[in-house]
Amino acid sequence: MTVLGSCSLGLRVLFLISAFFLSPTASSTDSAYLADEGVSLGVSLGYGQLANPVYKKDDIPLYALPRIELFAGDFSFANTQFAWTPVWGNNYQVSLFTQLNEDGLYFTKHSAILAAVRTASGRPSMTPPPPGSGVETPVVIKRRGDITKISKRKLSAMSGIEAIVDWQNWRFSAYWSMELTNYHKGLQGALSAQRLFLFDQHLVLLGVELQHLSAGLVDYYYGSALQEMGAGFSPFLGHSSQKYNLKAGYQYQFNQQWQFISDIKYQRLSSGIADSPLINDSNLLSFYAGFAWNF
Amino acid sequence: MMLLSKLLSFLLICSLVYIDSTFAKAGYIEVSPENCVTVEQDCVMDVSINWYTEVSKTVCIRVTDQQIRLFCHKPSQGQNFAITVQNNRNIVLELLSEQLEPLESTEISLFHQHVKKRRRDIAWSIF
Repeated sequence: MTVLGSCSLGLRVLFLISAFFLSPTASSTDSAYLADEGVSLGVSLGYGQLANPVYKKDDIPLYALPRIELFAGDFSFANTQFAWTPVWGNNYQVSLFTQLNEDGLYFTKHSAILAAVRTASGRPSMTPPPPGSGVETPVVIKRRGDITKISKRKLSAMSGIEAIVDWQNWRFSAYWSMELTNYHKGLQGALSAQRLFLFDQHLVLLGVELQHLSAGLVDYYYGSALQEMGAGFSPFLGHSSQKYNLKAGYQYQFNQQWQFISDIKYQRLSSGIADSPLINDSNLLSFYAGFAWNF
Repeated sequence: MMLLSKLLSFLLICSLVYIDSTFAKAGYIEVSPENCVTVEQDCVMDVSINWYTEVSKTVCIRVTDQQIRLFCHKPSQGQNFAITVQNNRNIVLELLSEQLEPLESTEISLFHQHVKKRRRDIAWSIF
């Protein structure tokens, strides 16, 4: 019984793996990655939040999302991302792009106001565990101060090159970017893989991504220098770091205009960022679900 | 009022029959291919023109694409006259008499194919 049971489980796993890697979908996956020339507008109403890892800063709520896209020749604009694609083929493209840096969003005025309104953080205490409790790991002692008195972190723009390869229902991409706005002169790169499943009107997207942030970028946003120390934070020098992302998305197309959309992302920050006294949480869960109207 | 309406209809039908019979005698002009499908703004292609008329011993062919071009001193019957056309809208070819009176005409219809562009991410991908 046990053997049969384990065989059955093994077979099930095998089927699942083969379905994940090999099965062709009923409809063409490519269509989800393609857009018509011209302008596409849309709006979504729903609920979600972008997890904010910064101490005493609230997660950024998401209630309404716009969709402003323009595809004209080799140029495209999608919300805040601008791209020029001079090299492309049947299953690949190389683009030069400009987009806003995600880390700057955590320090924007909007999230600062939310943090001021919030009276107590629901996040776990950063007090180090007493000696002898649990597994012995190097303890990073963080001293916290007044987050409102740290030096201003500006939202920066990054520009770089991205290569995308589509293979069957997989998409592999890599990008490397440098800062345009000259606040931190940082660099950022990423490798990612996505798998798309399309069944009739259902779309499921699973993805993994590894992001690399240079020391300059990490130090600008998460470093603790004189002003931060004056505000009560322990000193911290940012190192080059990684972010590990797992993503999942589900969409259902009711008709040409209406669709249900949802996205969830789990992000883990490596110690180069997580050890900063400005960081309260190194495991982040962001999500959104809502209904979208495409004009 | 009713009588006037019937009279006008009769005159219209007569004039259409007259026009039709006039052009039927004029001959024909054909172009191949008749359609141009392009992803670019302009359609650029080589075409072949055939024509025939009994009205005139020599004829002119007027091509209206980006500019108006006139090919004259052509025989009353011609085949596989090759030219290159270019335009961002329909292209008109006319068969004219020696006195440049229109005898027949045809059009190359232009269709713009909407190209799908590859996206950096699927629509409504939030994170």
